[in-house]
Amino acid sequence: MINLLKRLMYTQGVSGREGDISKVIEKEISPFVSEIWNDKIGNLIAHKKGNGKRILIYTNMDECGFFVNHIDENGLIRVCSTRGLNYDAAIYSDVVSENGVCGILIPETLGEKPTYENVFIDIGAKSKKEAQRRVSVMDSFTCVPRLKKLGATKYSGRPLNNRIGCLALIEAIKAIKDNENDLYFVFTTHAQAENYGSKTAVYSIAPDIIISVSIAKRECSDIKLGMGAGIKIKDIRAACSLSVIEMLRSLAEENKIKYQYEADEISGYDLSLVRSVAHGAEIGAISIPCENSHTTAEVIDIDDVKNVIKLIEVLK
Amino acid sequence: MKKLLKRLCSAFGPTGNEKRVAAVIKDIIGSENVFEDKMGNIVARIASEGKPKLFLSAHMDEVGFMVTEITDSGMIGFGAVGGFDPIVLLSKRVISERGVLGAITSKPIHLMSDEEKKTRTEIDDMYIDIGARSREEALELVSIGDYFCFFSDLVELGGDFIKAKAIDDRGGCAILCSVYNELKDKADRLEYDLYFAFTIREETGKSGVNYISERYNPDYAIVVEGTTANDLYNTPEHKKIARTGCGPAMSFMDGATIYDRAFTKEIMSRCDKEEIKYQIKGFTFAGTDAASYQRGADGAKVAIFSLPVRYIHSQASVVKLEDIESTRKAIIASVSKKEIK
Repeated sequence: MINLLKRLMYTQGVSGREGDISKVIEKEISPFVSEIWNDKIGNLIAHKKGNGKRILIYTNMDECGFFVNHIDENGLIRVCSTRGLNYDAAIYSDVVSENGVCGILIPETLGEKPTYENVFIDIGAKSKKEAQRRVSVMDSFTCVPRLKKLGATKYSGRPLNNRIGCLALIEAIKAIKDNENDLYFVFTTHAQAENYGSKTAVYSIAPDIIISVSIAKRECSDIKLGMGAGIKIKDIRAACSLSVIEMLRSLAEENKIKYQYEADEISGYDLSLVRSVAHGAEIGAISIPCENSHTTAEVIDIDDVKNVIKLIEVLK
Repeated sequence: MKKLLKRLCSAFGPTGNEKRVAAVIKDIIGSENVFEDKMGNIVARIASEGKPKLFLSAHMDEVGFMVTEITDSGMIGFGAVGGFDPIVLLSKRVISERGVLGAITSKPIHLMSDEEKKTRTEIDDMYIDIGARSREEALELVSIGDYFCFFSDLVELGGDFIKAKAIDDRGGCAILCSVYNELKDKADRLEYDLYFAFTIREETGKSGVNYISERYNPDYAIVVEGTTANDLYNTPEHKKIARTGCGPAMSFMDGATIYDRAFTKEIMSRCDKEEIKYQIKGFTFAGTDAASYQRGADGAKVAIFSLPVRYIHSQASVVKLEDIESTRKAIIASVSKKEIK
């Protein structure tokens, strides 16, 4: 499982550039589903046919990152970035482009709060020409991926948000057997750009029940690492359907899955957007507790992930 | 093209009051295969059943003003419809939907306190003077809720430039009208089932295009827009956004959209092959109608051509005719079958 997680984390997929990560996931799950395809905006949709309720379970596969915006005369690279990029945490980090070009993210002047306007990527090029041979405007960069074991069950690195959600969904897809429901699994794109991957997927599939799988920021609720799968009650813009909360709770208890409730008081945009096109479908979310989200030192507990996988597996 | 631009830019059409622009467009492109919906969007189609559905899209509305107050002395208070830098408004001539002329005024500098001189005059402190001497006289000509827009002729400047109001986005409308008329009998040459959308209300929340994208659910969309050309003064290279004379600007990302890379690159390679000028637009926080196409219904692959316009959202927007011609050619190259030159 950790090997697969590493492979998912080390495959770059900034929002709008999810082609490679989509292929890795497709290869993992295609033997276990009836059909699989990419839609117009890149969402990877896998279908496990059944005669019961139509359930859509989704998780996002993109990550925060930079795009090359301009190359200066001296060979330094000006950038812009997706949403959710924490410049304070990223400054002075090693970065790597989608084509494997290595660089560092440095501030233009010391002492200023870093934003996209006052940082550079230095790839060691001596001139604009040399830089242009190695990168082009539009190329993506991310902070270099890393994964380290932290104590007995915790792992630290990036981008755990949200490749850990991808891992959970992949493992659940592999484990699900004899589920009579009509299951759609969607690995969404553009989550770090206003989340519209999930919106368009929900629109085209029109499910009865929608379940999101994603990390829960420890800083935004009472959720704790190591205390089990999170069952979301609400985020700042949407309340989950009571029927789904109750279903997840009773499934967890029946199957002796460790769980905790999560009520996000600070963030959340995705569920409200999905609800706007859900035609009244019931909505809920399963979350994986995560610390230091959107930094190079995100932390999760693998025991929580195992509980999340189990909870998805027993959904009915 | 100059004639088209003159007709379209001169038309009165602030956001929410686009009827006269729509009438001009219908006059230019005719009524066959042209459909106006109940909101006021216009959609024309060059039909090729079975091919992927591509929308070319430009918005008809322009930034303008709405009357919010009429003072006892007959001055007209107004609110902005769309985004303005207040500084571009002072002393400008404006015209109402009923043809009433006026000028935008504020407290003259010799009456300002030292403190007031240091701060910018905001829209709340500006009035439109229509020459009325009392509230009663003003009410005969203007009502609360009336629209005003800039009163500014299209004139040719030197160096292939023109000046007009509303180039954002009548420039786009003019290009689409011209492309439609050129291609309407040539459906067999097109790679797509081609639609032309002239949308309303872009400048305040994009409600026109939101409806279009949900209703028609296209596979592809190319938005044709005006953008800021910051190519003057000592602007650092990376903040120029777009430059006049370098062709339409294609974005890889803006504040609301990460554009489809494969689709954008395909268009670029076609432009390269036919030696049509284009440029890559620098990042800005602003968004465009492309966002609505990308996330409307079950999504679409999107790209954009932005016309580099100096002093955008002012009564004296300036655009280079060569850029308009490059954009027209780039659109035709993008939608035509590959093997046809």
